[in-house]
Amino acid sequence: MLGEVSLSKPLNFQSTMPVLLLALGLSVMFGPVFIKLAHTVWNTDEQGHGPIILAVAVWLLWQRRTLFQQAAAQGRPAGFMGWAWLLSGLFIYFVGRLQNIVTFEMGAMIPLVVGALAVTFGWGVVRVAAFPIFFLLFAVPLPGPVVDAMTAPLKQAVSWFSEQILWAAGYPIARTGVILNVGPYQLLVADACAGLNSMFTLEALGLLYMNIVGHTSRLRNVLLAILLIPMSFTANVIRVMVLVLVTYHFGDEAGQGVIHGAAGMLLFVVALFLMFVLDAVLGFFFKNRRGQ
Amino acid sequence: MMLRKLARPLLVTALMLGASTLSVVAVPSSLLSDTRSQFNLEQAVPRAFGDWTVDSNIIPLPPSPDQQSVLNQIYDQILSRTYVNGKGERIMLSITYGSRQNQQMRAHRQEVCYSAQGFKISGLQRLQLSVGGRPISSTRMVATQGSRVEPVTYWFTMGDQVVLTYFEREWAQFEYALAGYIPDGYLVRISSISGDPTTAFTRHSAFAETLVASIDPELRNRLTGKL
Repeated sequence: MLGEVSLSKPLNFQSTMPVLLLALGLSVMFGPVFIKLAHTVWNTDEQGHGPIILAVAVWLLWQRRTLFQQAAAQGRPAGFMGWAWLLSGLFIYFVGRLQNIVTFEMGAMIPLVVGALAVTFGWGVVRVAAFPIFFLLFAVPLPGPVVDAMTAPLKQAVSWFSEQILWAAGYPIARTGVILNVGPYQLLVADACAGLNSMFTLEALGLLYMNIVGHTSRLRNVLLAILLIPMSFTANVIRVMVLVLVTYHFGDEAGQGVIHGAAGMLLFVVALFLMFVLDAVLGFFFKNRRGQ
Repeated sequence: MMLRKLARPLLVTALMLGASTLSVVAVPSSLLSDTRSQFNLEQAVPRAFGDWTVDSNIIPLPPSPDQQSVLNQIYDQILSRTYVNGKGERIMLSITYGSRQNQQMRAHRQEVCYSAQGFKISGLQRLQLSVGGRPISSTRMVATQGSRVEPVTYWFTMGDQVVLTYFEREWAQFEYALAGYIPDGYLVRISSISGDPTTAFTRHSAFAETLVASIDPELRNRLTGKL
């Protein structure tokens, strides 16, 4: 938050101290949460993107440091609403820690940062920080019951599409539920293959891309954000089909080994490629205003 | 002047430090299981009771390696047996024990487990059973995979009570946390291969009745809740 401004103005205690204090409070609160997540959720393939999201959010905040200075200089500290955000963040955090619900422990960060910034600097600063704070949402582990509820139908759909397409392509494939039988092999479409988490990661990447590119048309951004969901689904169907084909042609070993991991990468490459293509297509319909 | 400016950030930081101190103090670290007798399920659950004996011809299918690693994270003990009676009827019993039911990875809802393994779940219902004169909030469902139709009855316990819904489990955990303990818990699952769920469920109840009558009263409290 010092950055460029401190070059013109001498570094002053009054403007840096509040930021340092808030940073201290946040790190004492969330240090233990990060350590726990590092050993659990962030250690898994499905939700391993958490630390990256955090790093990106911090980077985005840093990018806006000059704007912060301006907003803080002009703004007035918030009143009741700011405290309400702060206190609800503290409450959610406490419930999360007590009941060991990581979604709450991590999710508390959002109202907490909003409230803390509002009561110390004013709503202007919150507005400047809105996107990075919103982006933190993607670092919050999904609640277990939600994952359970969404995973099963997604897996069914992914299995169904994979079966239909490969069958149409002439492969000897049959499906019972989420089990695919192809030739002599049997493949179980596992939870990780449902693509629920990759959907969220891709949505995060897409939003970040839009934020950086800075398209001026709101409709274009919203369309792209919505279309990211079927795109990541498509990419996931492609991944499952690739795995089925590898297993069919090269055997079980190949399908479960290195290629299984590589197919996960493929998913991202395919989805990002689709996103760029789509954005280019949307570019024909929505021209960015000049001067942006 | 300077202190006036710093008053708000100081207050906010104090609140944050307060919340984290409070959560460190309030989160329990002692295990309820350390305070009372422990059971080795393989020994404590009889291999023969009433008309039922363990069917040693049937070796339960071992879970796949990745499932096994998940199971080991959630449970400390897993008992998995098939019993057969004089009429040749078979019932599968699975009792699992976890000493820390405060984790994200605690005992799973069985409909989720089964469907993750490719079963189709139908007829899911929650109902109050009575086993050994104690009310048991349990779940029944029919899991189907190909020609295998498996009616399942199961329930969870936490500490000394049977818990059914997500909220009941959170609440039980909260109550134990206030007392300073992390509760342990059992999952009792009874199932059979049968195309006739109604009869199968009746048999499950009768089986459970005979089973709990034949075990140590202390373990009975753990498996069916204290009265």
